[in-house]
Amino acid sequence: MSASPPSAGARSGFRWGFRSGAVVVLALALWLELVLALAEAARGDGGLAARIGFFLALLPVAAWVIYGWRSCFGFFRSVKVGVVNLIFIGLASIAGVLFYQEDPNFPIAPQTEAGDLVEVTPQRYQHYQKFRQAHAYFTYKLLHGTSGWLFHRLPGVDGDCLLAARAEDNRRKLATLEQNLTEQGVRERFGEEFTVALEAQSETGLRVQAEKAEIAAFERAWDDCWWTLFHYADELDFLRVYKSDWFAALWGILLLGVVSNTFRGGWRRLLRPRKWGFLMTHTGVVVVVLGGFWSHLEVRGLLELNIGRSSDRFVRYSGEVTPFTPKNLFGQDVGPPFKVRLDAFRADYHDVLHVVYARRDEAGRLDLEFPDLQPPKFRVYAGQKLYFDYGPGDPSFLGESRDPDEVPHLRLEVLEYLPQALIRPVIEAAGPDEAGARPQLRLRIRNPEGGTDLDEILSGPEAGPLAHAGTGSRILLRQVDSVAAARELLARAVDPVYGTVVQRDAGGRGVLAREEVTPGSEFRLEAAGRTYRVEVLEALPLPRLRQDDDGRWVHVPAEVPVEYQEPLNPAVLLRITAPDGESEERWVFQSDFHAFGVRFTDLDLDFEWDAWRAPAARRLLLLLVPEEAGPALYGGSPGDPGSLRRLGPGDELPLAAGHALVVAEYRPRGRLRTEIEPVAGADFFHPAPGAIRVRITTPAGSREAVMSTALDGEWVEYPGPGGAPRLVRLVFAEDTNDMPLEWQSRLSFFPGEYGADGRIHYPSEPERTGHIRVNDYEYYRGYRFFQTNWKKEDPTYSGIGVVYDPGIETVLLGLYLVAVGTFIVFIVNPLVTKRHRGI
Amino acid sequence: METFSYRSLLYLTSYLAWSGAVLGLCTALGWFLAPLFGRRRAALAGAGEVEVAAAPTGPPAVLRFASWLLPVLCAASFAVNLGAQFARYVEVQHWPAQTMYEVIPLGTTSGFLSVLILYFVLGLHRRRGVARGFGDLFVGLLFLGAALTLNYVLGLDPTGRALPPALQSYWFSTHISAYMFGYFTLFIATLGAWLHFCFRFWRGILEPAEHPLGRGTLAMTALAALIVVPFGTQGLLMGPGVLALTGLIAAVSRRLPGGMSWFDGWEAGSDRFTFLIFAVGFPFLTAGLIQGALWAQEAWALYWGWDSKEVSALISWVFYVVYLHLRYVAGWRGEKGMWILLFGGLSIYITFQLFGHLPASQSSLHRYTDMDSVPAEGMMGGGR
Repeated sequence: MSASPPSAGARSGFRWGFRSGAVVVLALALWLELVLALAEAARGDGGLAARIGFFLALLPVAAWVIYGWRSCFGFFRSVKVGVVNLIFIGLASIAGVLFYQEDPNFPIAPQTEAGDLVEVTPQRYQHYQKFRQAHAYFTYKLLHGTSGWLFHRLPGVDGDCLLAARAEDNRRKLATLEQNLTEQGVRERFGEEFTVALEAQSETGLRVQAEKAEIAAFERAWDDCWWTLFHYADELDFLRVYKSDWFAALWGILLLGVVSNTFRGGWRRLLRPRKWGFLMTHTGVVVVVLGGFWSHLEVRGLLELNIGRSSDRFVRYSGEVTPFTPKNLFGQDVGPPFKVRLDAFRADYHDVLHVVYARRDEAGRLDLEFPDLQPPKFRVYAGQKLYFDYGPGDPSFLGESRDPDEVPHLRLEVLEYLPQALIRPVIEAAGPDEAGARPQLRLRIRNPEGGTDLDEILSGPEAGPLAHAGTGSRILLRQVDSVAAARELLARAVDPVYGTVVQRDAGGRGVLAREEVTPGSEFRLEAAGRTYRVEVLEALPLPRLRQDDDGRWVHVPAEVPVEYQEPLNPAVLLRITAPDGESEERWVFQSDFHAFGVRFTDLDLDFEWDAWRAPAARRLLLLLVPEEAGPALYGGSPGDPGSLRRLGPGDELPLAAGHALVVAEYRPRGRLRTEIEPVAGADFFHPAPGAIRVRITTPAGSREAVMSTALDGEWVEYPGPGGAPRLVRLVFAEDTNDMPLEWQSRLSFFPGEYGADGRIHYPSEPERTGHIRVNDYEYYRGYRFFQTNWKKEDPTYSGIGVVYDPGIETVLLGLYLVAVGTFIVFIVNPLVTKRHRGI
Repeated sequence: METFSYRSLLYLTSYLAWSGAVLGLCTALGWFLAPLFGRRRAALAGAGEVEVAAAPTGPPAVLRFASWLLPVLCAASFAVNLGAQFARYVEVQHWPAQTMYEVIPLGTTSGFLSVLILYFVLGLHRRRGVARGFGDLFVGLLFLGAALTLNYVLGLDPTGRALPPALQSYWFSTHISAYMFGYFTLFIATLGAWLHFCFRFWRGILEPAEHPLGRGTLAMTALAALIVVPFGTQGLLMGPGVLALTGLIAAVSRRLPGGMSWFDGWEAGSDRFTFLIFAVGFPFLTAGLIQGALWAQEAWALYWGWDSKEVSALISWVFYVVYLHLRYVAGWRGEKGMWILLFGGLSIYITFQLFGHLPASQSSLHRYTDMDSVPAEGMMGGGR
């Protein structure tokens, strides 16, 4: 393109220039708009007039093509026309960003007229509201600038600038913030970056508050103006520039222009190596535009599934339910629809480490040290080092070279981070004088097949009860003074008690009465000067409730006896009778969340399940008896003192149904350490919690800690600068307040087939399975499935975007051609020829 | 602040950029003033020539050495800025391009690299005399732009943000890096064109008889100088500031034996000078645009969603495509083409920094504005 050869237009006696080109390009765009509008009218109820209008509109362009074909050909071959057309495309795009565009998936509802009144649909008004907000915001930003003088001269706008009015107040607030950050020691505690962030957010936030108020007032004051603008922009298609016919006409002209220009001067010229880049770039543009036109057959929507559910249809954004029918190149349905099943889904949230400073008041109660501050949270990675609490000190404890005036007194070093971890407590031997050392006991329940059903650690001297639903067993660890005391304790039988009903005071904190209960027991409670009679009708470890025809909550009997049920949500059913004879039946749950059937509101009741004394198939009492080398372990069954025996590692005690309790490990003086390890063979969908191993270094020493999103946090106490006592709570948790780190689905595809009965049948086994995540879709029979939505409140839900678009491959080919062509033109050719000669 | 943290390395880069700016402006002044002191009058023989011009006698050694320090400083700035990006990568565990606190320094890194490449592509190292001074002025102003930009960045919210799933793609790094290189290189082309028009403006003012100033040029220069004023300190310095600086240099150079005749050489070569910068930046702009389409196709099976950010980027691209075609086909070389390059910079600035204010951007997937910032009210209510 280094020289401009005479155009075909020149041969026809007319040379296309910028002005003539601009007029005709504009005319052609408007002509297409008119022709398509008339065609639409002719198809609808426009009648004969519309049809005649349509044919009349076709005539001038048809005449130009037929009788002025040289001029027409010259028009498309003219590079100047091409440049003008590009400028129009640019201007149209500018219009597209200067007008708030409608969502192509949810077009604005047309305005309807009823008599003299113009009806505005709610959907149209909602779009208008967004339009008004966007344009008020833009106009404000454009006119307000730094001083706001121009904006505040506008009619209807307050002449006084709120930003200026609040400037002094905001400066004072920011000065206070800076003072507080320094005085309260936030700067030293959390470092410069944290305080810069706070200051930047606050400064911006204060400005934004005033801006928002000014914009909102501007929006309201100019409402009529926005509505008029919205109306005309809608009429002229400026709210849907990219879907408008005139915009498509500009691309059509570009397509014809690029095609005719690329091959001007003959195709042989294009085979010269220096022209390869030019040819590829321009061919690429043509292919992209062609693919774009083909994409008009696109169908787009959403498939919403829960795990295990399948569907052979999806919902288009327009609201239409559409089956997954394979299509031919022209978008016509061929064959029966296929079916998609959601096999697995998981949303994985960020694991973050919260660092919260606490302090104790005079009474020893814990409180936040910085109650007005959102404590920092950190996304963790192995090798990460976090520093806190800068101040004068001796840096030697860190093992790092530091300025003695700026020594961080707390260092957290993430040694290991596992997004999916197995958390395993390990018992270690403790030294004879080691603080915190205590008896540690690892128990296993061996099943008849030799496998392990339970693996738990009990830390002495007293722990439990440990409940195992599979065998209906309860295990309790207690400390006694001697073997004789152990035998005496074992001689006592266990009274069957299901739990305790607790009566709370009006505030819900103080305890007024406690009553041990079993089904059928009865007791009395005083409240508000009245005495209630309470009968225990049911006490269950895991009730399943349903409402009967009278609206009462009744228990659906479980298939397994009480002793074999896990006490996951224990509850008690009480019949409460008032002195006047009125009564209620109330379910009271251990979890503090709810109670059903409450009538006597002055009776505030809780329930505590007794895991040891509630019905059990077998109870075992493990007893620690002091000895010189440390406590010895004994065990036996309550009510049977003869069963007492000394236990050591490897010893077994029989349980129900062929199971046995095995003493796997016992250390009279031990400590617990938690180990983490990756979950072998776990894929993304494995629900194992994240865990970290952290080294905590303070002037008081260095230690390792394991934290998991499934465990409690860690307390750290250390001397800060000048020996000031510090108390920090480290919490490692999933950040469910933020968007997940990632969410993925596993899908199965089942092709449909018409059976002899004319119905669609699906095979039992999928033809294909696919795995989708954001940025990685699955393609099946012309449809693309990509991950879009998740719901925090429904962990089994997956929102899957569905697209049928036959033009994608063509467009991609064109894009690659443009990329390679540009590379050749701008990089390869100059390197080969040693200078840039142009295209 | 940790020694090798992102923030500390940004500070270091900013110090280097300030040093480059001061050095560039001083050496430029030195090259312009040297002939006045009559020490190296022969240096004027090669002055003003854009192509290699071997001076009959060499320039002052200290000036030559100081000029050579500029690309060295640029290389150092690039290395430290790149180091900062790596430090940030470790800190946030993803390609640091999520917030403006990360994206803009990625741009300055690209800018330093681009200046380094252009230094040799444009043959700035081979120049002597006033032409070398002009080159140093150009590089010095680029350093000044980088220093001001980094100063602005250091006042932004430094909080590292989690990468949403849509951004967790290999395209995230290449798409944004290509755009940053393209943007900052084309900003450099804009500065090249702007320097041309500034000197042309002053020549028209100072030598009106020989080089009269057309009304159009006068109006456009004034417009270009003023249009950037609302963009804060950077706009003020790079618009009216550069115009004033060039005015000072033009006034000083009138006292040279040849007056402003040194500008003849620049005027003849400025079209090629700015085009070469464009030719380095434009392929990256194209690459950024295409990668965006490929990425969107992978994420949403939608190669082009007419998102307003995409459209803004397309407008900038079309702007430069029009420049390219007008230059080659319609013969728009020289000042006509450079006007397009000058306002192309504005188009990129709107796409890069002002996009969030456009009406259509309110529903954009690419929208990052500060309208959701929340002040720490609890800490502002008075001391405890």
